[in-house]
Amino acid sequence: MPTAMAKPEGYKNRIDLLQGTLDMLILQTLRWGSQHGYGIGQTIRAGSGEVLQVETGSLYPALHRLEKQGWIKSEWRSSEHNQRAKYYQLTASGKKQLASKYSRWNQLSAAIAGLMSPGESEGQA
Amino acid sequence: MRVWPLFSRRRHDQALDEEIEAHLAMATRDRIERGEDAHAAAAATRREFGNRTLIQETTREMWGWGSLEALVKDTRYALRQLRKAPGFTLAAVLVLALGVGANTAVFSIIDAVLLRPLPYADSDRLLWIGEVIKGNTADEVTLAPDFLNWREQNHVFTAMGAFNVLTRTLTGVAEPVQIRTVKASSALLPLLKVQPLLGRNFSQDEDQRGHDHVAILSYSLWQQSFGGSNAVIGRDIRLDDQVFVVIGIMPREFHFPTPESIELLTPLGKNEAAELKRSDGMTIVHDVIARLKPGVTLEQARAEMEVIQSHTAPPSFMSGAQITVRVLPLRNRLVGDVRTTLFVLLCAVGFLLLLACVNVANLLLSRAVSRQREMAIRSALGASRARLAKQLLVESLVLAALSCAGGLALAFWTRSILLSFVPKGIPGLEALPLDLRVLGFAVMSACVSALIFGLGPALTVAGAPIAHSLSSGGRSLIGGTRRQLWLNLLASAQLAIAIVLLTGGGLMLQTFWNLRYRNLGFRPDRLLAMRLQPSRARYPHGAKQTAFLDELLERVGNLPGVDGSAAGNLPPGDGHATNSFVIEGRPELPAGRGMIAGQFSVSASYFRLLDIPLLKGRALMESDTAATNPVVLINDALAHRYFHGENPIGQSLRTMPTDPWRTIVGVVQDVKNAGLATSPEPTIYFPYRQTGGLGDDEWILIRTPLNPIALESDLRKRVAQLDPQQPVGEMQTLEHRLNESASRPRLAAVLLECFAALGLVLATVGLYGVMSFLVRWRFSEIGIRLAIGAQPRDVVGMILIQGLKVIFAGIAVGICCALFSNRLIQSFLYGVSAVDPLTFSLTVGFLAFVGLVACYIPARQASKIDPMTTLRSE
Repeated sequence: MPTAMAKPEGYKNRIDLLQGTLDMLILQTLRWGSQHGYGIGQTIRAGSGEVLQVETGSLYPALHRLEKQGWIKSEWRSSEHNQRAKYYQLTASGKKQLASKYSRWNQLSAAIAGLMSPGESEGQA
Repeated sequence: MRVWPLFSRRRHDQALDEEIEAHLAMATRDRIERGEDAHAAAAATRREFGNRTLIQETTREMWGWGSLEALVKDTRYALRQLRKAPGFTLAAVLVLALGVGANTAVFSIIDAVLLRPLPYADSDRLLWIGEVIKGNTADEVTLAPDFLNWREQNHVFTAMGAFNVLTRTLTGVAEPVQIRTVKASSALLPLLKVQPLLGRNFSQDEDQRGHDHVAILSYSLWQQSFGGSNAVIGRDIRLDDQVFVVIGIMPREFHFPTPESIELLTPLGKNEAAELKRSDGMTIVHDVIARLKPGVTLEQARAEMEVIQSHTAPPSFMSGAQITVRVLPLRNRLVGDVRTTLFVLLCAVGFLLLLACVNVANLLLSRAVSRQREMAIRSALGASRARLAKQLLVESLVLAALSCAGGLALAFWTRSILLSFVPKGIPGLEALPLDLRVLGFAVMSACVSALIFGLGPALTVAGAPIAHSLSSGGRSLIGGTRRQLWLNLLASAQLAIAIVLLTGGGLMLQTFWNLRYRNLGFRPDRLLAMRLQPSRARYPHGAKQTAFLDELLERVGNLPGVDGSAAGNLPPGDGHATNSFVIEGRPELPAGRGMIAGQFSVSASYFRLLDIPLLKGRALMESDTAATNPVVLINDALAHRYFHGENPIGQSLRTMPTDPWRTIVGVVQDVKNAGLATSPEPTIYFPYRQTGGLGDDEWILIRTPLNPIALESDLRKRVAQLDPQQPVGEMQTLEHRLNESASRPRLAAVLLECFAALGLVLATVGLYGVMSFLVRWRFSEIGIRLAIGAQPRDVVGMILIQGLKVIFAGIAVGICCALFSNRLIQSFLYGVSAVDPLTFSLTVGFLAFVGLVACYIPARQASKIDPMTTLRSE
C-alpha cells in the first residue's frame, strides 16, 4: 500500500487520472518490441501526433508498477548509441491485460461518445 | 510482504538512478542532434524531466516497501524526539510500565491458575462430582453407595473413581512420620492417565475391604523415607499400626488432584456389597472424579447424573436431608473461588492501566501543544495530516514498546512477592514462568494503551487548523474548547477510577482486618501448636491415653521458656465438623433435625492457655477425672441456639445413647473454630480425662514468651524422651495459621491496597497535571483579567470553581462505578458492607481534598502572574 508521502496534491491527482489509460498505452507501445522508458515516452508522443505528453513522473512509477504486476519484464541492454538502458518487454499476461484493457477502453469511449453527442443516439432510437 | 527486497534495496535504488541517468542522456542526445547547444540541452532536459527526487520517491513507492520504510523512519524520528525530552519520556514510560507490569504480573497468575491445563492428559475432560447434603448444615460429601450407583448406571463417563484424604502415621521407618494419604479407587490413576513410575497400580479386587493392604508411595516419600531404593517394592510398611505392602512408586511430577500434596495412596477399600444395602453402616467418600466419554458434554453429564440421582432416596437415617449432585470441571473444583479473586484483581489492574493511560494521554496532550509549531512547519512543508497523525501514533507505539519492556521487567521482579501471597496448594502455582502467553498479554496491553492514549493527541492534530497556529505565532492554542473538554474529561476520569480503586481497596482491607484480628475469641500470639496423635495401638482411648497425655503435657509445660501447655482443637479450623447431641429432658428430634455441635476433648488448661474467657459457671478443673461426675463446657453460641435464655448450667447432655449424661458446668466465649469467615458454631468441650483421649484433629499447644519456632526441637526431644516410638507431626505458630487461613482475603487486600495506592498517586499527579495545564493555558486571559482590575483572590476563586466542577463530576461518576464494581467483591467481604458509608465518605473526602490541592497550587501561581509580562509575550 503506497503511503501518503509528502507531495503536492495536484501531482498525485494527475497520476490517478491517467493511470488506466497510460498503462494501456505503455502496453500497446511494447507490442512492437522491447523499449526503454525514454523511448516509450517518445513513441507515445510521436504516435499521438504530439498530443499526448507523458510526464516522466507518471511514466516511471507506471513502468515499475506494471513490472511488479508481471505484465512487463525488463533487462539491461545497450542502445544503438551504445547507451546502457533498461529495456521493457511485454509478457504473456501483459498481452492478455492489454486485450482486456483495450476492450474496456472501447466500451468506455463508446459510452462517452454516446453521452457527448446525444443527437445521434436519439436519432438512432 | 517479502523480506528479500529489503536486502536488495540499495541495488534497486542504483538501478533506478541509472535508468533515469540513461533517460536524461538519451533525451539530451536527441536535443543535441536537433542542433541545441550541449549545455542548454542538458539543462532543458532536466527541466523537462521534472523533480527527480520526487519521481524517484513515487517510483520507489511502487515497489511496495514504502510503508515499511516510512515506519522505520518514523520510529527513528520518534526515538530522537523522545530522547530530546527525557523528563517527559521517563515519566510516561515509568507510569505505563507500572500499569503494564501490574497487569502482566496478575495475568501471569491467571495464566498459571486458570489457563494452563491441569497436569493430566486431556484434563479438560475430567470432572469432579459430589453431593451436597442439606440437613442441619450443608455438607459436601458423597455417600459411598451413591458413588457406586453412579459408577454402575452412568453412560457418560469412561471411568469414575473416588478418594478420601486422611492423615496416617507411618512407622517402621527411621523416624515415625505423620503423612497425608488418600484411599483411592483403583480406577482413579488410569482415569487421570497416570502410570506408576515403578511397580503397579491397584487392582480391582484390592478396592474391596479386606484386600486393601497395599500402598503406592509418592516420589518424595520414596526418596525421603526409603532412600529411593527399588527394593522397597514388595516390602511391608506399617500405617497406623497395620501392615501394608508397597506395590508402586508414583512419578516425580505427579500431583494428586487435591490442594495439598499426598504422600501415599492405598485402595478405597469399601465393602461394596454392604454399602449398596444403604443401611446405617454406610460410609462416605470425599471426592469423586470422572472422565467424560468422547463427545459427551458437561451438560449431558449433569443431566445424566440428575436422572440417576432422582431414582435414589436419601437413606432412612437422614430422612430430613435434601441431596443434590454437583458436577464441575475438575479444574474449577481445584481452583475454587481463587478465580473470582483473580478476576477482581485483573479488574483492579485494568483500572490502574487505564489510569496510567489517562496520565500519559495528558502528558502527550501538553506536549502536543508545545510541539504545535513543529507540526505546523512540517505540515506547511507538505506533510499531510494523516501523515502527522501517523507519526504521533508511532511515537505512542514507541513509548508503549519501551514501557512494555519496563513492565515485563517489573512483572518478573514482583513475581516472587506475588507468589508469597497466593494461597498454597493451587496446582500449577509452584512456579510462574513468563511464557509466550504472558509475553503476548504484556505486548497487547501495551499496544492497546498506546492506542488509547495516543489516539487523542493524534486526532487533535489531524483535525487542527494548522495555518492558524503558524500565523498566530504558535502561542494561542489550537482546538481550544474541544481540547479543554478533553482535559476536563481526563481529570474527571482519573478521579473516578481512583474512587473505584480506593473504595475496593478499603473494603478489602477492612475485611482482612476483621477476619484476621476481630472476634477470634482467643489470643493467638506466641502460641505454638504441635500435631500429635497418640499412637492408637499403644495408647488406646481410656486410662492409657489419658495417662500419656497427662505426662506429656506436664513434661512439655516444664520446658524452660514455656509458660503453659494444653491439649485441644486448634482454631481456626477450616470447616465445620459437627455431631449431634441431645439435652436431658427434651424430646428426641428425628435424625437429621436434631441438635448439633462441634465437639472437642481438651485439657483443663486449654481455656487459660488460649485466653478464652469463661462467661458463666466454672471452668474445667484438673480434678475433673474419669472418677468424678462427667462435666462439659459449652460455648455462648450453643447456649443461645439451644437454651434460648434458659440457664444451661446444671443441665445435662450426651452425644450417644451409650454415653453417660454429662453436666454443663460452664459457658465459655465463642471461638472461631470453623474457619475465620464463618459465625461461631455451637461447641461442646469435654475434659479429655473423661472421654479417654483426644479426637482426630487435636493438637498440643504451648505458649511461650520466646520465638515459638525456636522451641520446636526441644519439644520434639521431650516427646522422644517420653516415648521414642511416638510420631510428632507438623508444628506451626498460631500467627502463621491465621495468616494462612486469611491468605485469600490477604492476597486480595494487599494487592488491591497496592493498586489503590498506585492509583491514588497516579490520579493525584494526573489531576495536578491537568489543572496546571488548564491554568497555564489561560495565562493570557488571566493576565488580561488582572490588568483590568481583577483581584488575585478572584482569579484563585475562578480557577477553583472550574476545578470543583471537574472534581464533582469525577466523584459522582466514581461513586456510581464503585457502587457497581464493589458488588463484584461482595462475596469476599466479611464484617463490612459493599456500600460501607465510612469507606465511601473517607475515600471521597480524601480525593476531593487532594483534587482541591491539585487545583489550588496552579491557581495560586496564576494569581501571581505579572499581567504586563503575559500580555507582552502574546
